[in-house]
Amino acid sequence: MRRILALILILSCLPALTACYDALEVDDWAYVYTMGVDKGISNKLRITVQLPTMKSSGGGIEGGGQSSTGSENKDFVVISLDCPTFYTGVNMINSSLSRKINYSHSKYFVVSEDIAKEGMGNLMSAFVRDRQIRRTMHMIVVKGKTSDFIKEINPVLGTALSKTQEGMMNMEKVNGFFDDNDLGSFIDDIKSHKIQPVSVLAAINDFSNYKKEGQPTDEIKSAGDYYAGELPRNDGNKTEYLGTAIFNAGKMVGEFNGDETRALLMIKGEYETGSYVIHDPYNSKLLDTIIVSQQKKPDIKIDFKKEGKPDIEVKVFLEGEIQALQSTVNYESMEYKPILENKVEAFLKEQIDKSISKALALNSDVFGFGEKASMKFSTIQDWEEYKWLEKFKDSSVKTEVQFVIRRTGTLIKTNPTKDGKQ
Amino acid sequence: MSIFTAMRKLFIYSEPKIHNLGFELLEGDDEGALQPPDQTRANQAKQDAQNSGLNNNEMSKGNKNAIKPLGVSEWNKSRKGDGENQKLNPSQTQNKNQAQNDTISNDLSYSLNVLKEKFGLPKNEDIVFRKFKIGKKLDCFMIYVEGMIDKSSINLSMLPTLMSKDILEDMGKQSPVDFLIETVIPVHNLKKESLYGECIKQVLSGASVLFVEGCTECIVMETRGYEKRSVESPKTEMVVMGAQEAFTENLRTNLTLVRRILKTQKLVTELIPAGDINNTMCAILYLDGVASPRVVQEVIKRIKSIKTDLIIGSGMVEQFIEDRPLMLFPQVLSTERPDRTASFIMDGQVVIITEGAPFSMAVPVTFFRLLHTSEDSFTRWPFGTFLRLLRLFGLFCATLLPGLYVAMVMFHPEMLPTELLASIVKSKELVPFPTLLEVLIMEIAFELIREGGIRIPSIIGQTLGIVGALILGQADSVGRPGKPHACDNRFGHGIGKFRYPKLQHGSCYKNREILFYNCRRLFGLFWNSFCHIYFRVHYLQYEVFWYSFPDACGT
Repeated sequence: MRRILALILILSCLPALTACYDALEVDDWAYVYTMGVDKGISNKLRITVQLPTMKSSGGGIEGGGQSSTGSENKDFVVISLDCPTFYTGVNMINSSLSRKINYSHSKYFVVSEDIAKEGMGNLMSAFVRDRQIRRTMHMIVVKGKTSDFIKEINPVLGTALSKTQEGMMNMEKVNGFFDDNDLGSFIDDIKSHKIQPVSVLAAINDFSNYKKEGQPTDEIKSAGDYYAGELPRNDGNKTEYLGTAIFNAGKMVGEFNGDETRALLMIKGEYETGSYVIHDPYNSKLLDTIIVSQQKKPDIKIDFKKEGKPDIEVKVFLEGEIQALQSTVNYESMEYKPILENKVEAFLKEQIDKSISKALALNSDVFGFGEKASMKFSTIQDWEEYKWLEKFKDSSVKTEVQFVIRRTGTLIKTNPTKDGKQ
Repeated sequence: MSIFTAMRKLFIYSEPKIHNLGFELLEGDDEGALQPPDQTRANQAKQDAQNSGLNNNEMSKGNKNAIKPLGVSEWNKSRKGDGENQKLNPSQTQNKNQAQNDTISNDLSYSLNVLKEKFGLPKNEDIVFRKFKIGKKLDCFMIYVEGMIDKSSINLSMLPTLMSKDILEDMGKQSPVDFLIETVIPVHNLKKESLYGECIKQVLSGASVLFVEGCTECIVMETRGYEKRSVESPKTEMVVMGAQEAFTENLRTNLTLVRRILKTQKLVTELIPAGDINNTMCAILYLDGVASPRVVQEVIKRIKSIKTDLIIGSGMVEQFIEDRPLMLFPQVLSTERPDRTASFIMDGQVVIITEGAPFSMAVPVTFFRLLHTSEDSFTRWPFGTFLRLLRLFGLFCATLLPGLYVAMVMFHPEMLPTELLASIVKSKELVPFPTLLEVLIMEIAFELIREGGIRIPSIIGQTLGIVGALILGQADSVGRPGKPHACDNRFGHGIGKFRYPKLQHGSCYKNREILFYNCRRLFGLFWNSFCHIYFRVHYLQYEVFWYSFPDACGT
């Protein structure tokens, strides 16, 4: 009898422990794909949410598949609203939407540059407490207005927005032009004593940099020497993800362009691969393209020698593949290979130095040197007292790049082209 | 209730029960009669113990305390009063008297009348009484059931031989029955019988029986020759590689099929009748010296104690001999393949083949055995292993998929990949039912079609196939009333389920899965885990014929 009683008791408790009452059908939710925060005009904040309308059914009764006309307006709806805080804003949006807003499927958390520059520590810590917030959301800082930017997020290729969004962030591994940071690590970094947070820099490209008429030029500009929204581009997505927003104590203090971001990733050891253009060692008019990828994690050594000032030594290990050679020098041979390697090494060292000095000037340790530096302290209290993030600007950084050409593409020997001189 | 005890058992190790306790509560009144040798042995041991005073042998220690075995009904009666207790014995003595009356008379006409009366002649027109004179002198009659004997052997060899003129010339003072058996009757298998009851059983099973004037015994001749299905290829357990023979409804044929594979004298076949009225024969096959004698004895005991009028086929026997009627899993392993049966016997299992159904059953059984097929051993090991893993995967699909789907859609949409979620939401848009109802509708539709597919005569079966395909296909493509994902899910589940070698196993998962639905509908994934624990424990605690059911490496 006692057992039966116990069983009844326990069984009656179990439903109370679970969340059966809040079961909702999938189509009772409105899933937010992108959420954005702007400075408000009629209220403190202007929030923007992008929702799929879930209208066109793949095999529905209407059949017919998807109509291409006006798909921007049809498939997704972007709602902007001025409100005091984000979550009250969501409630306000629900006064015009028949489905409960759910942000457990959000991909991007977009913040405008204004808010980022004003400091977003408080905003973020308040934000992440909610259960539905996924810390794997991608953190993006947008130049200009968030509400305009989110309207332009559309799948140009394919129809699935979420795939487009995820795929876009994977491009970090293809070109290394931005440093994708998820919400979770962004917040961790804001609160860390060892590293400063970064986020993807994005902007709308209105195609104004693409000049239809003009004098052809021989001038060479590096592929990564642009910020978001600046590419001389004509068509495609209006949204552009290029460069990195640099933070200091939760405030955005500066930007890295594509090349600087690559250097940042190299020092962090997160760089995957990307093509670089260098001037040929023998003929500076010719351009050689080299695929550079990270060989192993960089070797970082930190000492505190002169009056507690940090002395940082960074050794970056990279390897590469010859992608295209305009010159006719046989760089595949053991004789000439070191010449090309040295050239690339010098070029990359210059790139890395440039971004380190920029970071030093902004006093923002985005590279995470603090991780290594903290190992020199015996207790965490000592470390926190030292105030690394403040003293980072005083450090002297020595860099070294080791670059090896591993592969030469599909050619193993360069033969000179037969031109008129022969 | 059992949850707690079972959970406790999980954590606390307890000695397995020792079954040779001093006290035994028997289940039927005739229980003691089944094992007379044991009883006498027990008595002897008791006497020995008393005589020798000190005997440290454990067996005798157990028996020293032994109380005389008492049947449940006996015990009940003894509680009511001693007066009633005496009523028990008359039934036994009555049996003895009956046995005396049953003895065959040496008066032929008396025997004839007795048998005619017993068979209900002249109403019963199936039974043939053929009167004739052996060697033109000796009166006799033969009795058999029309249609169950081999006519040609009776017509062409038996009757001519018996009726020829001078066969009785050499007969001395011998009993005519012995003389006939030894020198005259050209039948390969015959025996003497002295009870009417036995004769009747034999006649009903197809033998022909010869009664001779002046003899108190009759001759039972094996002349069976009735219509039966020939050996065909298996219908429910098809294999690509391997034997293509299946059991038939005929017990003898089935035994032959097994014996043809196991050519060893150690293979023992014991025949036990089951069913009070129809006397279906159950054959118990085991490998002497390999099968556990305890299991063999227990199987025999259980089959003998079946108290029912009619036994047709193994499915009924299974239900009478299984350990726990409430257990969801099947507790015998049935197969229609002789080769598989043979492998069970070789593994030390006891196989029961029942007359009238083309299936054999093996006990004891373990969980993982239920997932095996004979083809696993016929194919090379990489593929065989893959098949077994695939089946295990199918099992998980069958149990979990629908419930998981409901739980994810109802409670945990964040667990679904975004695009999958989007397509679910889009297709759900047109469905007027909540997810659970929708899944249940699909479930019922599926089951109806399945059930119909089996029962409906094959002539109109085609129609059903088309209609079924239409319903499910339509549901799949249109998204109404069951939406595509529920459908896919349903199909994956259905296919997963029918992957089981054993149909009953599949139906067991059906019950489980319905439970899972409801749990998840109400409580989400939390209850999913709870149910899982419950079922794991449910199946961990069971023993089948004293062998742990979930035994992974057993047999």
